[in-house]
Amino acid sequence: MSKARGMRLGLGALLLSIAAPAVVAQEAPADVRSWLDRMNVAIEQLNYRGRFVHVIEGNAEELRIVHRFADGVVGERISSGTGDGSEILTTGDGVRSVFPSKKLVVEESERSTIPVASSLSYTDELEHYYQITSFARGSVADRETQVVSIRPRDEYRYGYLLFLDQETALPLKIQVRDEQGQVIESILFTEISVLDSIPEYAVASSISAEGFTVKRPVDAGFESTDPELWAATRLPSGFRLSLARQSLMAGSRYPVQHLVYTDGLATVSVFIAHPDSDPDMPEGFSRLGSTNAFTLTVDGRLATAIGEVPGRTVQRIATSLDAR
Amino acid sequence: MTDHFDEQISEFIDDEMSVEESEFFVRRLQRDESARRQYLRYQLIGAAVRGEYWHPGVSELGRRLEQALDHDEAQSGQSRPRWVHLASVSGIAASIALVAIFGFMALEPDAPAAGAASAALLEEAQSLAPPAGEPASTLVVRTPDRTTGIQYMIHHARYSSGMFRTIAQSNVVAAQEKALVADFEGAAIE
Repeated sequence: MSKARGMRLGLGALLLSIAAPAVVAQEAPADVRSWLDRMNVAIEQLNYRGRFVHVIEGNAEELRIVHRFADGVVGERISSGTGDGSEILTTGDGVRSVFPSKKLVVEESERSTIPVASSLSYTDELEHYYQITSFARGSVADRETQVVSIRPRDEYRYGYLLFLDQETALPLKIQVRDEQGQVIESILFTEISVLDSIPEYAVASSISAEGFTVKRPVDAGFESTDPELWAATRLPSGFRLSLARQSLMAGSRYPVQHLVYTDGLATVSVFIAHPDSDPDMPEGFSRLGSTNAFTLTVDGRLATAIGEVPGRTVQRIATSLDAR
Repeated sequence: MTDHFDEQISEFIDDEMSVEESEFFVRRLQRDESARRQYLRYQLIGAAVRGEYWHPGVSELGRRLEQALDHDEAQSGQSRPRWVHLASVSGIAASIALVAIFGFMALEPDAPAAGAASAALLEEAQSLAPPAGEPASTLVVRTPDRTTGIQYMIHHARYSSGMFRTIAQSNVVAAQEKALVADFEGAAIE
């Protein structure tokens, strides 16, 4: 059995002991960015399991997470708190989503995919678009946390308030704030254990999918590769292309073009459907928590920009798409 | 969609139907997605022609649904479908304009349609988007077969940093569990 070397937090204790942050001297920007780098590495490369409350639009839901990092490969299971609801499983081969209420499994495979996100490093350039400060230290359930505030400098990105565990840099509390500073989504860990190792079975599905419909990519061998290369021509300042790829999506035999734009922190994906495919994405704005999407038809192609950014950002990117 | 149905929409919007006819019409909207799309198209075009700011939260359908279901409730003694309660509790009238794809809130202007009409509707729909930070609505209609939005979120999360991946994937899981996601057929997601 793995030995817990971290913490285990009780919900009651946590709610009682989220102390108001004590103001301390601000850290130098480079030091603050190092906290973000540590957080990124911790989220990916530590082994942990826990429960957290996820709040969007005033509705709270308890979810569970098991995260495994072994031999350079991430395995993760995010599931409903009751254990019998939906779950998303991440493995080195792809992502498997199980929706018991629909008796549906969606499997997205990743062939020769290298996670670019984990190699992100926060640079000086980020300061052009966000004001990043570590103005306080707080206490979350008797755990010392470093509070990092990330404020956007324009209306094209969201802000964040992060309570990072002093020892591991794992975010025990995340608040996503809109342009007015209102909290639009938050994640609050109520229980978390950091472990030396986690067995593989712990990140396997806990739901029997017998009798479920399984949607997976139809391997057509990319016979109908999309010859057109698309790009956004009017990006909000700071956003740049970090990845362009074609991938097969579950249930489709046509590749979709996937462009990834980032400002160094937030990420926006653009999906351009193959002209012969028939995606069921409605045009216009969509939103779920802090995730916004904007879909429109460009030259007969259905294009969607999606990301944890304000609606105007995905709209601007989507409406500037052009085939080269 | 037939001319007769177009006439029915017009009568419904103009409040020219009897209560019984309204009930029948509403039932059809509940059952028939293409009918809902057609109704939405009329709403958008009508608002555009009148130069009104049309917001799903104050849709005529919401008011008429309440009327029809109030009558239905009084006649049958049965309580309303849960999605109507959800809409009432939230303070936002029921609207067919918002469609969820597995809990993904969407402002759906129109099914794929031809040329200029589609573009005009899209433009109109864009102008109807709620202000940033304002919830689109709390009543969401779920269309069972739609998964593209969720698939996009999952692919997107794959290329986001760890924190954002957790947020996006949590959104997908949590959306399945939240009571605010209601099924147009009346059964809320448990």
